[in-house]
Amino acid sequence: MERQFNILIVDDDVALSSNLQDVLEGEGYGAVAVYDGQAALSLCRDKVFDLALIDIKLPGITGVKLIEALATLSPGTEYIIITGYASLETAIEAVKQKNIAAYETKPFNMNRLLPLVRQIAERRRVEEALRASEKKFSTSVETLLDGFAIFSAIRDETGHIVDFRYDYINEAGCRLNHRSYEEQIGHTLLELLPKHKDIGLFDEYVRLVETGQPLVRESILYEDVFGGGQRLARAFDFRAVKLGDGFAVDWRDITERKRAEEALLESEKKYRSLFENMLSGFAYCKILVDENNQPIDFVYLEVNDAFERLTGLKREDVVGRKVTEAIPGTKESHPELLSIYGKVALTGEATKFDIYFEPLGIWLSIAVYSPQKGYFVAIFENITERKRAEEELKKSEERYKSLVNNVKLGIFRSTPGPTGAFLEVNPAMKEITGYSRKELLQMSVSELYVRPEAREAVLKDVASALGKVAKELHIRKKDGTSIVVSDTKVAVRDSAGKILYFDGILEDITERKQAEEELKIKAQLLGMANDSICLHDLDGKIIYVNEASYQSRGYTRDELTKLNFWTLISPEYTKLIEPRIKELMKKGKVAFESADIRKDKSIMPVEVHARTIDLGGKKLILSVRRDISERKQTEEELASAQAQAIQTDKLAALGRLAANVAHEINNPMTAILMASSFALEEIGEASPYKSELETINGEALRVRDIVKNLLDFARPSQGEIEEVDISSVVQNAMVLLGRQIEHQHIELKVDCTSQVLKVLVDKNQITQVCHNLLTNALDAMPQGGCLTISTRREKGYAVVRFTDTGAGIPPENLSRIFEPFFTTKRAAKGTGLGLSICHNIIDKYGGKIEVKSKVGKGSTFAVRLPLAANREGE
Amino acid sequence: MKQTMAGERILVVDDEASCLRIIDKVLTEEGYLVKSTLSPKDALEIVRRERFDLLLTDIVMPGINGLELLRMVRRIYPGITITVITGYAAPDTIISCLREGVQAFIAKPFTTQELKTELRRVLEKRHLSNRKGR
Repeated sequence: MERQFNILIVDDDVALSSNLQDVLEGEGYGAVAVYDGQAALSLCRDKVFDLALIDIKLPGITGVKLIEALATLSPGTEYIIITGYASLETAIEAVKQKNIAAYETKPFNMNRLLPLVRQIAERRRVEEALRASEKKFSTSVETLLDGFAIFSAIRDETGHIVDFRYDYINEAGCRLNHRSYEEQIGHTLLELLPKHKDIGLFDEYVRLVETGQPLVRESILYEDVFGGGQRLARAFDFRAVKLGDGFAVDWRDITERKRAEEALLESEKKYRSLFENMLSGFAYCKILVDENNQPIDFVYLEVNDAFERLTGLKREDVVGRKVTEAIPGTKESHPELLSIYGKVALTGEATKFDIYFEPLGIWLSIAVYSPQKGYFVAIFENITERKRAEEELKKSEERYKSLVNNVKLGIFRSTPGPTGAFLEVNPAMKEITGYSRKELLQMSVSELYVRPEAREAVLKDVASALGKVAKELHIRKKDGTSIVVSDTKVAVRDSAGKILYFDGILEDITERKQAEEELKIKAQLLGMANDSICLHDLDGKIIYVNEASYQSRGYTRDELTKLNFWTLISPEYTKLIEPRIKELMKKGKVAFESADIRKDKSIMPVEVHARTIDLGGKKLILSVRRDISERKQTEEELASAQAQAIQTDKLAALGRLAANVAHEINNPMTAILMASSFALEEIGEASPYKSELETINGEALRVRDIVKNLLDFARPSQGEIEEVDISSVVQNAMVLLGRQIEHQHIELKVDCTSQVLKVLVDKNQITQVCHNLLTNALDAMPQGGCLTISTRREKGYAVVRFTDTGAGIPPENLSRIFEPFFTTKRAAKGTGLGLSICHNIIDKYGGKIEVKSKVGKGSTFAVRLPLAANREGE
Repeated sequence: MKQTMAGERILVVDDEASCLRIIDKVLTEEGYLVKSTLSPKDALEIVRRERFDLLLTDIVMPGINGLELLRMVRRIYPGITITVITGYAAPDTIISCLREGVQAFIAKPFTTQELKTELRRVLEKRHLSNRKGR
């Protein structure tokens, strides 16, 4: 429908205006009449008028002024100026205005005005149509995504087209050519895109202009230097039509589409390959329904290689066939399958499910979707292996769970906090701690500790360790008892190394600890035992020895265990051992005395208690051997002491006897001696009885000596015990015998140490000892010889040695020389008491007399007396 | 060798007759005024009647022993010189003797010479002290 042509009438002549309005409305125009310029202006603010009939002479604003004002308000409006009179000035002024269509003078002729209005209206309609059409063209061309250009032919003097000139190019054309409008208009085609000539496109344009045949080309590949000097390869579709002496062309850059198409093709190829090569089975099917729209079957439309592989069915046996034919039994064994497929195909809702597919005996995981109504795609995998693994896993997990729930070990997971909280515990945790699972999960870990501060050390150890950390802890059970547990933890960390939680095992080791302690004590006892304890087999291979075993024998443990046990027994006992072993095998235990060899080859008497032990099916011997050296020695010493005591008793009795005898003898001897000596004094030298009296007197003196010795031997010391230098005593004794030494031609060697050797003794007794020993030495060398006297300080003892070069003492006599009344001297010379007396004296002072002698070489008597200082404990 | 001394009076007591007889003989021959007895009891009687310079006595005797005797004699004659002749003596006996002022011991058996020498020594000593005392 055409737009109404609106006319404004501005005239202060109301009658004329109304009349004009009526006429124009009667003509079908829209007409509004106002009576002054002001009303006209306000009206024009809201409404657009195509034509205004304006009286030049108006009250207020003049007609000319109104037109000027309206020019800005409504620029498209045309005017017809109506005037009753026209001055030259008004006319000139009015003519200067734009859009003045006509001048009419009053009183005007309607027959003249109406055609004028009609003419103006018709012109405006056409102009408007044209404007709209132009706008349409320009909009379409300019807004086209396709390039559009108009070229005119350039001909040479002979009339041949040599080039085309750009007359017009739209925005898209500029964009496609990478050149601005100004860079192209007025320039030629070959100047800007010279490749047109090379690929023959230019010639086709010439032919188009010459023949007028439109030119249509698709997917032209064009490569040239475009604006900005860039070389580009593009693909175009274009159409060209002859336009005057030239042509108009529109073209479309299809490079992107081309690429997209190629990519699509490539992608399709890829997908096809994927489809064929995919591991999942793929089936594209059409569902078949009954009259109630219930699925009753489906037809395979397409399947891939994996389908063949997974189902074992051939594509040609499946595609185009119903499932009831292709895989008979499906519908019967899996009625739900059809209803699932049907639902997907008909509703479009995708689904996924696992199913044990009876007809093929495999587990399938099937994803179904519907690409279009009535169709569905089933993508499936054979998950039989996975299912089996899952089953295995489930079973294994059940087994594991049963293990966790039934073991005696407490298993827990706890937070790593300063006090810690249990995240999970197994039933054994209750047995260990006495707290229920619920209680444990509500309490802190450190509450269990007997010493909650121990938690800190535990945390530190676990945090710094990479692996598990085992600790022994004392924990308090719910009933208050304290137990020892082994707490083995491992920190579970996140990827940043932060500890998430601890997984741990708790074991009640209280009993084990006690057993260990006991074992430790037992082992210590075994080690501490003074008896050597040895475990060995029948071949003598040593399995165990305690500390005493190797220490008492002088070996290290390693040295001893390498030896054969039987070689450790003293050879004199090895023969005796055999019957003992037999007895041991028969009775299981045996006790006897034996002797072992130490490392230094010395003999160690032992008391053996042996028993057999069955260890790992092997018969072993456990032998406990007590070193009885000391006992043996004590026994010997005791025996010797007894012998000594007997000897002492003997001597004491002898002493008493001697004293009595002496006393009894001395009285008669006094008379004899007195009488004989008196008689000798009285009878004179010539008496024939003188020699007899001398004999009586001499023998009486000898008896007196014997008795005196006897009494000396029996009588305890009567002298004073004092500190004396042993050397001076020796000197005194030598002086006493000086004459005899000289007389016997004895060579005397004195080798006394310069040290003062003080001994606490009765000087006279020691003098007597020295005198006796010197006398013996001299008596041993009646034909002369060498007498060596030496004094030495040796290990806290003063030692005096008297060495002669006499006859020596035969070995058989050596042990008897200290016995009373034992003598080898002539009857007249010795009493047999000298050495006994010496022995008794020296023994009394804690000393010793030792003798070394070799027949024909001589003897050495050594007297050892403890040094006085030594006594005082120096 | 006979040497007449100042005729000192000596009382000899010994229960052994043979000894007593020969001692008496030897000392008399030597010039001493000797009284001898086998019995200590008799000795006490003699001492009460006569004065002696020296008592020569055995220790081990029946009845009153030598030690008891010399104690009693000392009470009667505090200034008497005492010499003990003995075949055997326990140390405490000897110590007791010394406490009672015994000047010498002569061990039995002895020779005439030993006896004479010892007596001469103690009597000379006695003379010296007497002279000093005067």
